[in-house]
Amino acid sequence: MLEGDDRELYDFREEETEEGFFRMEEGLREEIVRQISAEKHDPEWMLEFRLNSLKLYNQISVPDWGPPVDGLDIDHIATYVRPRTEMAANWDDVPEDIKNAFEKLGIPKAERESLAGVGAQYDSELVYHNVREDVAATGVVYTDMESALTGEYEQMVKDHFMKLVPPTEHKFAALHGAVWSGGSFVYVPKGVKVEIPLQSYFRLNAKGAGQFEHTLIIVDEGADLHFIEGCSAPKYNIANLHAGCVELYVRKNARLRYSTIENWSKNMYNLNTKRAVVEEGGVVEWISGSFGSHESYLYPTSVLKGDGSHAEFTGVTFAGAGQNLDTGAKMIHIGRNTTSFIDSKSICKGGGISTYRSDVQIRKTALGAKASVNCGSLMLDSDSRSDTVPGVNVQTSQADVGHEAKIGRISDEAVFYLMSRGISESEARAMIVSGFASPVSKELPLEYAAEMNNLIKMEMEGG
Amino acid sequence: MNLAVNHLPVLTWNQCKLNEAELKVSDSLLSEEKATDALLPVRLPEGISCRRGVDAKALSAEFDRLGIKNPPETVVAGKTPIYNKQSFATGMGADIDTLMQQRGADLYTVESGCHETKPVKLHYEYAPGQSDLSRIFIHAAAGSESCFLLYWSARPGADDYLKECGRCSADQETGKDAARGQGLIGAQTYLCLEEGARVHFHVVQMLEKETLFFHDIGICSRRDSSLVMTKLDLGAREVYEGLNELQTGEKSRFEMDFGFLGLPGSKTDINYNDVFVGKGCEGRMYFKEALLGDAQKTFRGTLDFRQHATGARGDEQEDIILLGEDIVNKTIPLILCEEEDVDGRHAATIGSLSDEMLFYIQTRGIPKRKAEELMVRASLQHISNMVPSESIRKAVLNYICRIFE
Amino acid sequence: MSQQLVEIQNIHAAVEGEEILKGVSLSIGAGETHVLMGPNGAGKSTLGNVLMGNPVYQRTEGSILFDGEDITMETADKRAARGMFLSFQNPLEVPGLSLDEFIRNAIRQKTGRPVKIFQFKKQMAEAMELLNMDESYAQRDLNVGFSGGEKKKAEILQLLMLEPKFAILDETDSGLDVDAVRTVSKGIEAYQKNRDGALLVITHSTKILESLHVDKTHIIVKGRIVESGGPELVERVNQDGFEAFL
Repeated sequence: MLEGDDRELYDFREEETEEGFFRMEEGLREEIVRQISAEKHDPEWMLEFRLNSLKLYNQISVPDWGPPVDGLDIDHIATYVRPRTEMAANWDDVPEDIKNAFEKLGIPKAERESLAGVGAQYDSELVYHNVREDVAATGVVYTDMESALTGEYEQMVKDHFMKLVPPTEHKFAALHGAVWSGGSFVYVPKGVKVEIPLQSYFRLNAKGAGQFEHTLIIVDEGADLHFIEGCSAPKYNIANLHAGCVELYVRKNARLRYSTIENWSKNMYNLNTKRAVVEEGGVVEWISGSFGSHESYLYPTSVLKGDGSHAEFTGVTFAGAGQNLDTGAKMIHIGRNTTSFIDSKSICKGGGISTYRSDVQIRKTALGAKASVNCGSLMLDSDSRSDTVPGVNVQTSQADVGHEAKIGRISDEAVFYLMSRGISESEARAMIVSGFASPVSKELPLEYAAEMNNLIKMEMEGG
Repeated sequence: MNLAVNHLPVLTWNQCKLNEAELKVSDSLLSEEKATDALLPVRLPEGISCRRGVDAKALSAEFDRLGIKNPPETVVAGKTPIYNKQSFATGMGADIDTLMQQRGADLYTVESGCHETKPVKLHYEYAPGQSDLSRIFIHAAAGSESCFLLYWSARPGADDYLKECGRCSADQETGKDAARGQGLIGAQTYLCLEEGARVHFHVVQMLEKETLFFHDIGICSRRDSSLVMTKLDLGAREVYEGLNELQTGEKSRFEMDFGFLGLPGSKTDINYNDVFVGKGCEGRMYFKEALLGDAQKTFRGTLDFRQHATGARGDEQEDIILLGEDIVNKTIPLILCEEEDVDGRHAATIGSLSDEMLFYIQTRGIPKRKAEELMVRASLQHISNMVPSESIRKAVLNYICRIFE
Repeated sequence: MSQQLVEIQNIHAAVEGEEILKGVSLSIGAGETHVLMGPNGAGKSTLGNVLMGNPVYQRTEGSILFDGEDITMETADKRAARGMFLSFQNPLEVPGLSLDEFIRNAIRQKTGRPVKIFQFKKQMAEAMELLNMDESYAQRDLNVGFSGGEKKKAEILQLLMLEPKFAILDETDSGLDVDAVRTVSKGIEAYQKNRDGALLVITHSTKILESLHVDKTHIIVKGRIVESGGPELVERVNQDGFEAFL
C-alpha cells in the first residue's frame, strides 16, 4: 500500500498499552496451545484437536512452490492477542479505542445502513456481534465461534469444524487448527433467504501478532445468504501473520455468496484457506478483492459434490511495491453436470508480484461437467511481475473445459481517447484499471464497490 | 536410470503432479542401443554440410563459439533454476544432457549463401524393440535459408499394431505390462538461427507401438530470424517432448504447429517453453490433440516474457478432443511476465467441439462422434499438409485412416 | 389435401433467455418454395436455426413435424438424415478437411455405403460448373480462405450434392454482388427443378427472388408472422419496404 496520506485511512493504529491487553508469550509450544485452550474454555475434544494439529504443524514443511515465507518467524509471532473486554452487542459497550478503529473503517455506519448483521474481530477475539432482530427471528444463527462451540451448537461445530480443511492439508492449516481463535458461526435454516448481507470485519491491530479466525457457515437446503468479510491492519515494521480458515457448507439447492475485500497492511503474511462444499443444485459464489498483505496465499476452493452444483469465482488482485500476492481458485468437480466459472484479474505495479494460480479438476464421476477459466493480467510497469499458472486436470471425455488467459498493458489509444475527452492521464489510467477490475466491483454491494475503486485509485496514485 | 525431465518453469502445488516428469530408462535398453539406422541423405544440398560424431566436448565448444547464453535467472519464488544448468537450454532439461553425454552429435551447418527450400530429410527407421539415441545440431548461419525434415518411422511390416490399437480393437489392453521388448528411441536436437536465418523444421514420429520415445529440443533464435516448425506425434507408447525456444534476437519469429494423437494405453508428457528476450520478437505455438481410449497426457506450455522484451507477442492455443472414456488430460499453460509492453495470450479448449462447429457439421447429417473424428483427422491432416514430403503426407493419411476406420 | 412436408406449430424460442420467436406456425408442402421476409431482428434466422435444431436457440414451446413425424427433440444430424438442410449465413472454417472430403463423408453417412468415386466426381464437377466454382476448390480446406461469395457457393454446392427434401437458405444472398447472386440463384433453381426440393428462403432483400419460382411469402415482425400471401407480397415489400407491416 502506498505511503501517502490516503494510506492513513487504514494505517491508523491504536497503540497497545500493557494494561489493556493480554499478550501470550511468543513462539509456539504445547504449553501455549494448552493455555489458549484453557483461556477459551474449549471442550475436551477441541483441546485434543489443537494438540494434534500442533503435532502436524511441526511435521509439515513450508510450501516450496509459492512466495517465500522465510520472513515469517513463527517463534516471534504472538499467536494469541486478545483485548481485555467481553464481546458486546452494542457499539457503546465496545472500548473507546477499539470502537474508534471500527468507526474509522465505517463498520457501524455500514451496519446501520445496509447490513443484516455484523461481527467485528479485533486481533484474536470478536469484540462486537449483532444481528438484526427480524433476521434472527427467521432462525438464522450468527454468532462468534467460541459461543457456538461452548453453547447449543457445539455438536454442529464438532461435525463440521475443519472437516473441509483438515489440519493435514498444509502447514498453515495445521497452525490454524492449533491456535485458532475468534471468527463467526452462521447457520441459515432450510428455505430461509436472508435478503441483506451479513458481515464480519477482521482487524489485526497488535504488532507482530497472528490472527487465526475461523469462519464456519452452513446454508441449509434451499436457503440463501450473502456473507461479506473485510480485513485490515495497520502497518508495523515486523511481520504479522493471518492464517484464517473459512469453511462453507452449501446444502441442496442452497446459495451462498461470499465476498471479501482484503486490505491487510503490507507487512502481513496472509496464508488463508477457504473452502466450500456444494451439494446437489447448490451454488457458491466467491467475490474476492485482494489489495493488502506483504504476501498472500489465497485460493478459495469449491468442491462440487452434488449433481448440478455450480461455483463461481470472481477475483481481482492488485500487487503494489513490496507485495507478492499469490491468489486464484480451485474447482473440484465430482458430481454430474457440475459447472464452474473463474474470472480473475491481476494487476501489478511498482515492483509488485502477482501470481494467478488455479487448479480445475474434472473427476471421472463428473460426467457432463463444464468449466471455464478466464484470467487477465495487467502490467502497469516493467519493474513488476505477473505470472499465470492455471492447471487443469480432466478425467472424463464427457466434459468441456475452456481456458483463456491474456496479459498486456493499458493501451495508449484508450488513454488518449479518454484524455481527448478532457480527462487527465493519471485519472484516465485509473479509470481503465477500475474498468479492468469491474467484474469484481460490479458484483459487490455499492458501498464496497466504491471502497474497492477507492483502493485502486489509491494504488494508482501512490508510488 | 530415472531422469527428472520437463520441469515446469514455475512450480505449483505438488499434488497436481505437474512440476516435472520422471522418465525411466532401463539400463538394459541403454546397453542394447545400436548404431543409428538412419536413412540419411547421400548428398546434402550445396551450402549445407555435416560433421558426424561430434563429441560432447566439441559440441560444447561449438556452443561457446556461437555465444549461446541463457538469460539470467529471475529470482522469483517457486521458480526452478532450470535454465542455467544447461549450456544450451532444452525443454526436457539437464538430465537429458547427462544421458546424451556419450553420444556423438551430427552437426549440420547451413552456410550464409545457402537458400535451399527443399528439405534435408533425415529418416530414422526402426525395427520393433530397437533402441537408439541420437543428437543433432543444426546451425543456420546469418541470412541462410534451409529446411530440415526429421522422420521417425517403424520398419514396414512391423506396424500391424495399428489394427490392434485402433479404437475398434477389443484387445488394446495387451500392451499394458509389456515393459519387455520396448525399444527406446530418443533424440536431442539443437537449432541455432543466426541473424536473418530462415529455417523450416518438420518432425514426424510414427514409431512402433511399444516404443519409449523422447525428443528434446533447444533453440536459439537471433535477430530477424524465422523458424517455422511442424511436429506430429502419432505413434509410440510413452512419449516425452520438450522444447525451449530462446528468442534472444530482436524481431525473431517462431511459429509452431503441433499435432498429437494419444492412442489407447499411451502416455505423453510435453513441456514447451517460448522465452522472449529480444525486443519485438514473436512466438506462436498451436497444439491440436486427440486422446483415445485410456490415453494419458500432461501438457506444459509456457510463454515467458523477460524484462526489456518490449513489443514481444506470444500466442499459444491448445485444442484437445477427448474421445476415450478413460482418458486423463492434464494441462498447465503458463504466462510469465516481467515486461509491461508485451502482448500474451493463451487459450485452451478441452472436451468436444464447440457447439457452433458441432452444429454446422451435424446439419450435413454427420453425427457427433463422427464429427469429432472428422475434426481430429482434419486437424492432424492440416498439420501434415505442411510437411514437404508427399510420401510422408501419404503415410500420415494412411495411418490416420487406419486408426479411425 | 395430403400431408405437409414441414409443419411448424406455435414455435416459441429464446436466445440467452430473451424470447425471439413468439408463436410461429407455418406449413410447407413437398416441392414448395416459401419465402420468409422481415426487418432485421424479426426472428428470421432464429426460425431457421430452430427448425434445424441449433442448441444455442432454446425452443420453449411448440413443435416441428417433418414428413408427419415429430422431430422437435432431434439433434441436427438426425434432422439432416431425414432430408433437411440449412445453408449457413456464416459457414465455419475447418482447416485440414477438404470440401470434397466433407461432402463425401456426409453422403456416406446418409447412404451408409462407401461413395462411388467416379460418379461422385462427375456429379461434383457438374455442380461446380453450374456454380462457376473453380474445380480446385474441391481440394481446398473447407471454407478456409474462401471469400464471402465462395462460402455461399460452397453451401449451395453441398445442397446440390446432398439432395435434401427440404432446404432452409439463411440469407444466402447477403453480401453478394449481382453476378454472384445470379450464380447462386441458378444453383437453387437447379435444386428446385431436379430434386423437386422444398425451400424456405430467408432473406431481407428481394434480389435473390427474381429468378426463383415462389409459392408463398410470409412476413415476420417481432417474432410473429404478421402476413402470408403469394409471390405478390414480395412485390409489395419491394415497393413499400416493411413499414406497412410494422
